[in-house]
Amino acid sequence: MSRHVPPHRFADAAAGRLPARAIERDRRHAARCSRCAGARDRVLASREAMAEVAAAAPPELGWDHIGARIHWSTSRQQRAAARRGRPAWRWAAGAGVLAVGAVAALTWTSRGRAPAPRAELPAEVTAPAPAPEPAPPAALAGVVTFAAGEVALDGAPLAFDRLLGPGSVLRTGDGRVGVQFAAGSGFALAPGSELRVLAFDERRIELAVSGEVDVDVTRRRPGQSLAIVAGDHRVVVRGTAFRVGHRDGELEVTCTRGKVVVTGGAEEVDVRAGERFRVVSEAFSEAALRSVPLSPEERQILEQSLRVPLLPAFPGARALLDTTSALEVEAAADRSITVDGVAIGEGSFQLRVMRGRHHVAADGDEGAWIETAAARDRTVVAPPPSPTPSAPGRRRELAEAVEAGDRVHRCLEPLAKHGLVEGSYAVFDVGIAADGSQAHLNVLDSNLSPAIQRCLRQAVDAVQLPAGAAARFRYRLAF
Amino acid sequence: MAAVSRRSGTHEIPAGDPRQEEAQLVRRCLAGERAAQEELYRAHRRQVAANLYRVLGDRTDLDDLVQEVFVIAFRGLARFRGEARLSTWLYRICVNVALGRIRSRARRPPPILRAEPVGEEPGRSPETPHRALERRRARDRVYRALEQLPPKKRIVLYLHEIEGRSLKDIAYLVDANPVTVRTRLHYAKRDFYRIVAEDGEGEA
Repeated sequence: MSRHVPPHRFADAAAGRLPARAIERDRRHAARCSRCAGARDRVLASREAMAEVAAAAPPELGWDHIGARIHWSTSRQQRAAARRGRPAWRWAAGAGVLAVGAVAALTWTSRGRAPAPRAELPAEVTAPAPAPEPAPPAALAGVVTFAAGEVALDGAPLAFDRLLGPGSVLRTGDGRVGVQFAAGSGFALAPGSELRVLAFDERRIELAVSGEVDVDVTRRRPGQSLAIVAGDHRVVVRGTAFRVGHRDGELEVTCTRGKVVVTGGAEEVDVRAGERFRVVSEAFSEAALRSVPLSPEERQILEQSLRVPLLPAFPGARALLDTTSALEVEAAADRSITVDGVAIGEGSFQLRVMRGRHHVAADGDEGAWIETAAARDRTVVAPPPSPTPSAPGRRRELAEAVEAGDRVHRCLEPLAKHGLVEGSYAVFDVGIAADGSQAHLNVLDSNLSPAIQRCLRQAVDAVQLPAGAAARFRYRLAF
Repeated sequence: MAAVSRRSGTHEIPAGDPRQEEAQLVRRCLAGERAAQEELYRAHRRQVAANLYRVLGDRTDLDDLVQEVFVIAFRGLARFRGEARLSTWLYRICVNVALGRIRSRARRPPPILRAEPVGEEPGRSPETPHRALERRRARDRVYRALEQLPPKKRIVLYLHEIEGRSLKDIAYLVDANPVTVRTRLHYAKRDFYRIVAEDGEGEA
């Protein structure tokens, strides 16, 4: 038997690139060689598939969106080149104009988005539009879904049924507040933060934040852009859940789902799920121009703590107020409250709930069913006091003993390396026997990983109190 | 007579040549005319997406890649010399972007082509599920084999065997000497069809 035919010769033969004699010789060989016959069949089948590949239709893409991004990238480069040599104060002004231009360009692009994709690039924002003025986009309103502690809206203490609109200013002292503005979309403001609503309509949402805000955007309206302004930087949302911290000129963006793009001046950085981007002193430096992956532990902590209280439906702000109720829970600061089995927080808070029966429990007790009757009504719930309300003395003793040692801090070392200790906590249910030993010790609530919780539990368990009164109490270890 | 600036002198384009319109469009783009940039993008965006999609066999991040191609094109439009059609020049950028993409994902698992099935020809009876499966396997086999080639060989083979382009065209697209392309193609074909022939050798 002659030598096997190299497979590419079958392809050449099929393409007519071999002389007839060579083709015939190969054919004869394949007729008596099963191996070459199999190879020939597969080569010919592949050539058939290649024709299909060459004719494969590309998928439909978001052409307007791509066009806007191209425009943004190219015009930014042109303007950056033109800006070189200008005084520094003009650089900052230029960056601001670029940022506004980008958002407006995105907005303009999506203005006419219809079922059939448009081919146009966005128009220059600075150029007057020759076409008739389009109808202004409808304004949005945000509904407060959760509030605890000191929260002010437009300089006055927050009224739970007040709506947020363009120009609203939310401030938190020691409190937290959650706001929903669309189905599956909202934000939660952390303690010591301020949020200004710069733009709030169906085309553009722009929130300026100082402090920390968690954002969860499950769905946006077609063409709607959403950006968080943090000092000189913009965090542009692509459909995602993320946290923006902006304090004392430092910006930190962490993302748990989807992707956000952080822009500052002429630079931009993508932050994807499981990544963190941090900038110090309001400036993008060469070294800082990339996001870094979170460790599994950091990511777990972030996912556990990044929760925006959202209602399952959003028929519109006013309609939501008419179809939901405010559930007000009044409880001691160290009591962990669950509503319908979901941990909501500690101490007193207000929560917007759908009308109907809800189960409210404190510290894992049996709890009680509450009927929230009418819309816009306020239902006040006061869970029964802790089993031993006279335990503050024992709790203070335990806290002092725990803080005197360094075991707790060793448990938090993995987090301390990344500067993530602040804001973490663990709540324990502690039983102290008369001899000072711990009769029982359980972790009731924590935003820490199970491994760190176990470590903290062992650290607390190792404490031996002096003999005294038996007591049972909740002990909150916060950092 | 339209003229397009070249590296050395001026390249004359005869009147009535479609390249004349392209040259005007390029000049308007270079002058910063937004409408011209829109027109260029609108005219070529689908072809750019199709090129990238077919070369890579995967739609992952396709929108980012299309963006990259046009950003490179707009930034480098001054270097467009008019000696090739604008679509060919864009294809050249697509090839470079695709090469970068292939290199960056070299260690990832090979993608499966998720192209829409080619539409049935009118009057043709619908294919059987078995035939559809065979066709899909064959397509997957093509991309599996392509994935195993080094990026440069892969591009050359794709352009020649799938797109049916000439050596001269390929030399322009990959910015290489035609002799180099011919050598590269020879080895690419040998390796590619060997992989295809061995893939599924044990199948019934």
